[in-house]
Amino acid sequence: MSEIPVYDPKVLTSLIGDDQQSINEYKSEFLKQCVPSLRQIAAAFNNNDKNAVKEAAHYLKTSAKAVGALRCANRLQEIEDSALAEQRAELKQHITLLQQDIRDVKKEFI
Amino acid sequence: MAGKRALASRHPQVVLIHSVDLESGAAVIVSQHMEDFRAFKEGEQAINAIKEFKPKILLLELNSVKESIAFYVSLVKEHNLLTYPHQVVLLCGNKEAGLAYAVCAKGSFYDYFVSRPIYEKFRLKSILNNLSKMLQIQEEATTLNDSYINALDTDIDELISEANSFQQNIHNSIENCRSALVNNGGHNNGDGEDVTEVLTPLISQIEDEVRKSLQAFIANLAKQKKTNKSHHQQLKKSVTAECKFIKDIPIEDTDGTTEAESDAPPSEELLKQAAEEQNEEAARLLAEQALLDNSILLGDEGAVEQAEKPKPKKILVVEDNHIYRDMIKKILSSAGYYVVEAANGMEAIKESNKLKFDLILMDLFMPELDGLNATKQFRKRMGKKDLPILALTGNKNKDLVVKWVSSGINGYIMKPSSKEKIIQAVEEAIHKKEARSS
Repeated sequence: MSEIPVYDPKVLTSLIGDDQQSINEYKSEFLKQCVPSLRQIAAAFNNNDKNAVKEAAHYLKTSAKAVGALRCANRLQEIEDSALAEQRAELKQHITLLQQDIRDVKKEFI
Repeated sequence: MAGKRALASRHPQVVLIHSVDLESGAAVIVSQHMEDFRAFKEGEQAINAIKEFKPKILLLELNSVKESIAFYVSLVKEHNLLTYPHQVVLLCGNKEAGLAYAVCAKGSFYDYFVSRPIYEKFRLKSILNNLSKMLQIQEEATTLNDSYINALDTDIDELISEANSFQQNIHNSIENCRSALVNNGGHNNGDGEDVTEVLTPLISQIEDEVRKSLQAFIANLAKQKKTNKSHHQQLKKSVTAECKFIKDIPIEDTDGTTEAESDAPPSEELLKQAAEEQNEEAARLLAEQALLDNSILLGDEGAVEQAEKPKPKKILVVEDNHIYRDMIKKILSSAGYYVVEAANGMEAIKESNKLKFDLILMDLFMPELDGLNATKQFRKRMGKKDLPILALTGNKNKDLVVKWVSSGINGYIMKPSSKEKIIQAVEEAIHKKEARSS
């Protein structure tokens, strides 16, 4: 996982161009979206609701991919896969690591 | 109404009925959002609550959609309840979303919400907000109508008494005439001149009275017509386009008169009219946008040619993640397309009823109604067989692609793709459709 870059700026540029203001707006919006999504994933995990975990992870994965938060997107895919396979221990580990991935994205964005 | 935390209301207008063994998470959301709310477990207690509170909004969250429908039917048929205007929202599990959608699409209930698991609590709040607004408008219209009918009753009473008095006056005049003739009988010299002399002023008097009475009568009728018009305008002001189906609002006829729809359900004509008005509005907005896009200025040479350019193609972007949806919208708008957004399959179906789209870009995994089921709805129920639908997906597994094609999806765009690839895929799909049509 560590070899996957935290952030690839080219992804966002290829989608919306190089207007810095728009880029910053989308980055900021993504960070805002991370907070409730992470809470939702954790709550669904605690309720043992694998479908809700999968849905919340899939939702955040879309914007993670779009803004180029690659490691985060990859982690969310792992979460989806673990939830689908009902591997609770792995799922817990991925959710914990997702928190760190989001912190890393934040550092890159700021 | 929103944002207030409330204890159990004494006279709830919103009532949720849930299964005995079901802890309703929706109840918490609604209680935080609405003041006049209470939840009851199904059974005698719930039936008594409906009887006592007569709620205007009823949320049904039983173990299955079938149980909810059966309970509602028993309330209406066996207990003879809910005989007043009310709206019902079905709360269901994720697996039954398609069934709940179908029930609501048939018009049996107002809407549905997936409460197990609760994924999008703001949608539930939004449904309740819309319902409250609609019911408030309906209530205002009813109050307005009641006051108008009371005023109308008084006016009609006055007109009747005026007509009676007019009749009496004519009767008196004729009686006077007869008396005058009788009194004059003894003085008649046989040449008829005296009778004429007596009758002429009397007839003039009757004519005069008839004219005066009729003038007053006509003036009152004109006043009545004016009041009718003013009432109709007031009603129009109080009712927005989205509430045209409210049952007791007089609708203007082609000849300018009004009709009251009483308790009848919204007619096909009314719905068609509302849809046409929405289409006209959309077409107007499109034309305005085209004008702005082309920067046409008054007096510019060639402005007419520019104005006659083809209208922009209309694309519906269906994606639950608002960040990605916004990006796609910007990309397509910058390429000259007119873009409408929807957050799930259900919204997509509503939008496509309002406007005829040239293409739909749709995420596959969404809450409420997912992309595959929405596509099936478009193809089978709505008859949109030729409408290009492209999937937005991060997965290109071959088996999945085969499944998508069998559901009616024409192609897919990987998430995320570059701006150029997205535009290229959209253009290709539209050209293919045009080639097929021609």
